[in-house]
Amino acid sequence: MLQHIRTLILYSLTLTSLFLIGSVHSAESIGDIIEQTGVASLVRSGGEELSVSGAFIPGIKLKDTAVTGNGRMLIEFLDEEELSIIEHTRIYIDEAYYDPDPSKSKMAIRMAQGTARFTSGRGKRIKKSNIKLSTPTAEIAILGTDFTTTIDEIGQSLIILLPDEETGEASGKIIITNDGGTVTLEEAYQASIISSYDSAPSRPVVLSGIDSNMISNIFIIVEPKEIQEVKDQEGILNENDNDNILDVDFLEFTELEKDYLAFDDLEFNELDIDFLDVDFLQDILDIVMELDKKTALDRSALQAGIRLDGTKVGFDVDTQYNSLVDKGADTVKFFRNVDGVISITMLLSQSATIRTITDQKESEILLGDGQSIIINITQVQ
Amino acid sequence: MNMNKSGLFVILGIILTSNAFGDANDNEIFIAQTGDNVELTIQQIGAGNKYGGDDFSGTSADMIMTVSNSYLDLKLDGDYNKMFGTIATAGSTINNFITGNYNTWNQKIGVANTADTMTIDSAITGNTNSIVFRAGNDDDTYNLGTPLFGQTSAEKFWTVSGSTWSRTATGQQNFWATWNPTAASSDSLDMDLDITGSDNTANIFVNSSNATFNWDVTGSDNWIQTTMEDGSDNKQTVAVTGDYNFIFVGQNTGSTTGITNNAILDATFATTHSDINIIQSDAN
Repeated sequence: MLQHIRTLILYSLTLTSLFLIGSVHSAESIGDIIEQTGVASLVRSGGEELSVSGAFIPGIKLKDTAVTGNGRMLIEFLDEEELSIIEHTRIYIDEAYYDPDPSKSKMAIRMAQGTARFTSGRGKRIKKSNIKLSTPTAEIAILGTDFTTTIDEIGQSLIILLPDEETGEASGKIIITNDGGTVTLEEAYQASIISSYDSAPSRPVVLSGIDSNMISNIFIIVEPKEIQEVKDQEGILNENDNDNILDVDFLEFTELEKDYLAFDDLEFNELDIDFLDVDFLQDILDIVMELDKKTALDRSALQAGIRLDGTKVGFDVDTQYNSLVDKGADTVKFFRNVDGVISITMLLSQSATIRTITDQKESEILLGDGQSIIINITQVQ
Repeated sequence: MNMNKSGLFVILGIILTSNAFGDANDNEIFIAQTGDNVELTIQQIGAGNKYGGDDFSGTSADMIMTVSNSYLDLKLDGDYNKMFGTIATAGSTINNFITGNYNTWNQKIGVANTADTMTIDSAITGNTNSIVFRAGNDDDTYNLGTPLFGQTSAEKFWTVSGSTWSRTATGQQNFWATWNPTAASSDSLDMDLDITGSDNTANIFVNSSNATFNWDVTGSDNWIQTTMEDGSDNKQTVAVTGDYNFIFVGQNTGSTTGITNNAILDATFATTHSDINIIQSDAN
């Protein structure tokens, strides 16, 4: 009899534990901000914006958008995953579901803008393959990994696999996938650039001149004049020239000058920029040049002859659309992965208006004169 | 196909023809089938043929099939044909082929039952056909006389005035409240629909998780409306070629708090003078 009672108590405790573990849902905290400096905020799913400061550090909840102005945040999730966000970065926390069965737990995070470092947790509550990370141009699958993403203002992504801090070896493996193909990063400091969702990720390139002490300082990279000189010498055009893939200047973090949250730009100054490593910058340049050779993409040629208003070719931060032009097929694809995936392909010769309403904002894209086809898209939570 | 020894194994091959439409000599096939591992092939050639549950002399009745793990091949060749069907089934493959004009197809899969792991391939070639198709949905108030685009709740959703447009605050809720399915499911449904012709009206409602629905329309002046609701990971692939088409695509996913549900729409439009409305919602 005593044995039965013990068994019942054990079952009860087990069930209670399972219930507590499995009861994490949107209304509860799924993580904490464990470090914070400068101007940062959380935007709740309902639109409420919570300013993060030393006096008030809210917990992280499902559907939060983590945004930094002139500030930084380090978020630790329940399974000890860490997300380090630097200045002028925007991250969407789409999913964090903790089930008693780790294989059923899920996490999904979208890196929308800026630079962030993700370190997968050492906990056992989420099977790592169930952690989905994405950028505007790629999906990232991880296997016990520490890596950074840098996303420029047109959505192009630079992903770098970081080493294990103890062994110096690769911290795991990253599989980068989009409509253009898949690449795997499995060496420390191996990197790939992804220019658009239907362009294959670049060939992985190992960066040199980086050590673990510099990891936290490579997030913001400002192109030095030497790099600009090299680009000028080789006929590599700048972003404003809008001429080819090299206009994607991962080294020039102009988004730091943008004010997405009505923060005072004047708050940002050179003291907020981390120091640079010349070797690292040279490697980045190599990657860009390699990508240019590989794709031979000419952005101005893509744009030529296309009447497109309300968004731009490539990734548009404002509309969150990737507009991908295929001159060969004479088509333009509008791809948006926010609260559902919308992919619309039309002929370049068509005339269409695409109106999009979300909980946050509205946008209108015109192809041609926009008069012939009316496409109304509503995405609501 | 796996053959269940304990189940009913039926193979029917029927080819019926008629030459006139609308007269007393039209073929009328009354179907009431129950069992597993059914293989059924019916092809009607001619005009005015009918699949159903009665003689259509008054209010028509649906045919009733309760089968699983079965293969159904239903063909109508000709004009003015009708197919009213209720197929409660799971794990089956259904092929619907309609060739002709002025045909009426109203099919319900999985009504008051599950219709999981289904493969449904349908092709309609012709003009002025009327199609209502429900997969995994309970019966509802929908009928051919009150098309979705004519519903008040749908009209409320969009308010367009000149070049400005907006949606009402309650339009979303009203829309889904009207069309929210209440029973059954069709998990892992794989459905294809090809419509070739003009002036067709198609209304497709899918209540499903992990469902894939690929549909192609080639023609003009078609009214195509689809909704996929409940569950998660619903995907629609759409291709529309032709002018003056009205397209409505609704994807409403999500029934579990804390889970992000993935509605995916991949659409290709080669059209002019068309009105295309897309709603993706995670608000059950």
